[in-house]
Amino acid sequence: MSRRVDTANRTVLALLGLLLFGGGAVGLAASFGVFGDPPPVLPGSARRFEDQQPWFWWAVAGVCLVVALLALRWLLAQLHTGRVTRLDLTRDDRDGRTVVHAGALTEAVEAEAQSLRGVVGASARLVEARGRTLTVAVELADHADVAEVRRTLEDRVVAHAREAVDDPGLPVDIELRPGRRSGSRGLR
Amino acid sequence: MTVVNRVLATLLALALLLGGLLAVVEIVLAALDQQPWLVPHPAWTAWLSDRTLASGVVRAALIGAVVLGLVLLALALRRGRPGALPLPARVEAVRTTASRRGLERTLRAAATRPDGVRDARVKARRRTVRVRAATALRDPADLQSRVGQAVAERLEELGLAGTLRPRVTVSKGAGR
Repeated sequence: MSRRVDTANRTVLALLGLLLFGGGAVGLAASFGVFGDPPPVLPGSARRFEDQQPWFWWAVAGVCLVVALLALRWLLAQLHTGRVTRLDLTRDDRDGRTVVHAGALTEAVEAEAQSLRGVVGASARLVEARGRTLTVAVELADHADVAEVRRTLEDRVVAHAREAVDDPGLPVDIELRPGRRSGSRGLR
Repeated sequence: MTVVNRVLATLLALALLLGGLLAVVEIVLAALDQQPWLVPHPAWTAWLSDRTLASGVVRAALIGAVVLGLVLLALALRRGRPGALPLPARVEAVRTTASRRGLERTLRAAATRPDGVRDARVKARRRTVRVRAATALRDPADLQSRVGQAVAERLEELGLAGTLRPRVTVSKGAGR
């Protein structure tokens, strides 16, 4: 899950929480007479105002539309995986186009990771995060030499992946998941 | 916590989207002197005009708003346990982490290795690992230090010895 979406979720939830808590607390204080006699929920002055100002409800409709559009953007962000499916390696259009399917790269990374001693499963994805990032999750058997597997992943598997996409600085996130039983199913 | 927040965010976003669109439709219908579509707002307006903030239903709604606000704030601000713990970096632009669940699994296996340990429960946090080992031995003697050593060795193998501090307790009981 994208960290950016998680941060956005926390921020929006905190803002909505503050709004509800603040509004509810002020309303409760007013209902218990902190600001004088409890006022009506819809004061007559408010009803007169909306009757006298024809633009009022159009402004409310505009605000509601903006809220709906922001909510749609927020909703779509939850569904966005950031997965990259193709890599364009073209340097100069005059020399032709070179496109690599991300699946070819990730399958090669998975196969190489799974061939390591102690690895019971591996899953790789190419995502849009910090630019283009390769993420690899590796399930390790409990008997695995974690330090050795890690060294091989970082030094050999990552180097091969970077070589394949001709990007020596390709950011890579590796998650090691130790403690799997040797006979258990891997990630796929 | 991330999953809970994501589900909640999806539900709230959906509610705000539908609510916002419904409000726009009702305002347009009212401007065109048409009957309300889904929200009987003339009846609601009349009902709300007769109520003050001191009425029971309104107070209940306000208390509900305060409680919901507090729940949302707690969910948004609570950090919870991490999904994965970062390992010290070795190679440039390579970020390696160990999943918390995997870590707990492997530390549990390490903690149950010394003779006399019947079972162990492990909870990893950002800076500490709590290991609760259960033994059937009448006299656990140095079992706590042996379990602590096994856990520390495993953390060392994982490269987390400097990041996570193990806290081991041994109790006489049946374990889980």
